Amino acid sequence: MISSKFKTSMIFLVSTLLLACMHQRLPANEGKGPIIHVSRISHTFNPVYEGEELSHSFTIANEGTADLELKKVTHS
Amino acid sequence: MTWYDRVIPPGGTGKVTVKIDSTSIRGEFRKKALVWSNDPERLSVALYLQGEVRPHISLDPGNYIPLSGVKGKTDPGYVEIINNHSDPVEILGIDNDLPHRVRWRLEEIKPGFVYRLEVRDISTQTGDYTAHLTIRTSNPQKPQLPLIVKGDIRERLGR
Repeated sequence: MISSKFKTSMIFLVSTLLLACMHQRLPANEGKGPIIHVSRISHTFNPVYEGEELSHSFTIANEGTADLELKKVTHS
Repeated sequence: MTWYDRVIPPGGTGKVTVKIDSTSIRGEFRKKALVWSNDPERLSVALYLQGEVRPHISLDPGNYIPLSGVKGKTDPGYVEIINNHSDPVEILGIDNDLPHRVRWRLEEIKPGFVYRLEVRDISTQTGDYTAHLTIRTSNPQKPQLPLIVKGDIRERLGR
C-alpha cells in the first residue's frame, strides 16, 4: 500500500521534472527559420599609430533553415 | 564604418566588417557594434572591438602652455616633445605667429626621441594674447604639431 506521504512526494517530484523540462530552452526555432551564430564576438587589434587603418571582419553563420537577413548594424 | 552581407543563406556564412578611424582616437579604446537580424530568438548580437592607438609624437603635458604673471617676470612654460617611434625624428623648425610676445628655445634631451621646448614671454606690454607655435618635424605622418600659448601679462604692482 502506498502511503499518502510517498504519493505526495512523487507528485511533487514529477511536477518539478515536468516544469524543468518545460523551462529547458529548446533549440532555437527547433532548427527552423534563420539562426544567427557568431563564433568570435570580440577582437583585439594590435597597437597602431594614429591615422593607421583599423578594420576587422566578423564571420556570421546562419545555422537555420531560412535566409538570415542582416537588417542593420549600430555602433556605440 | 560598417559593411555587411545583407542576406546569408541557410548553412552559409557572411561577413560584418567594421572599420575604425584611428585619427580621432588616442590611447586604449573599446567599441561595440550591434548586428540586428531576423533571427526571432536573437534579434541582435553584440560584437566588440578593442585596441590602442598611439600618437606618432606626444607633447607632454599637452599642446597648451599658459604664461601668466607680471611683465618681465613671468615664469617660462615647458613641453616635452616625445617621439614614440623607434626611428629618430628631427625637429625641422618652429613657427611662431607672435614673435614679439613669445620666444622659444629647444633643447635635445635624447636626440631624435625627446626634446624639451621652453616658451618664454617677452611682452613689452600687458594684456592677454594667444600665440600659435607650429613644430615642424621630419615624420611624414606627423609633419606638424600645433602648440597654443595663452598669455596673461599684468603690470607690476605699485606702478
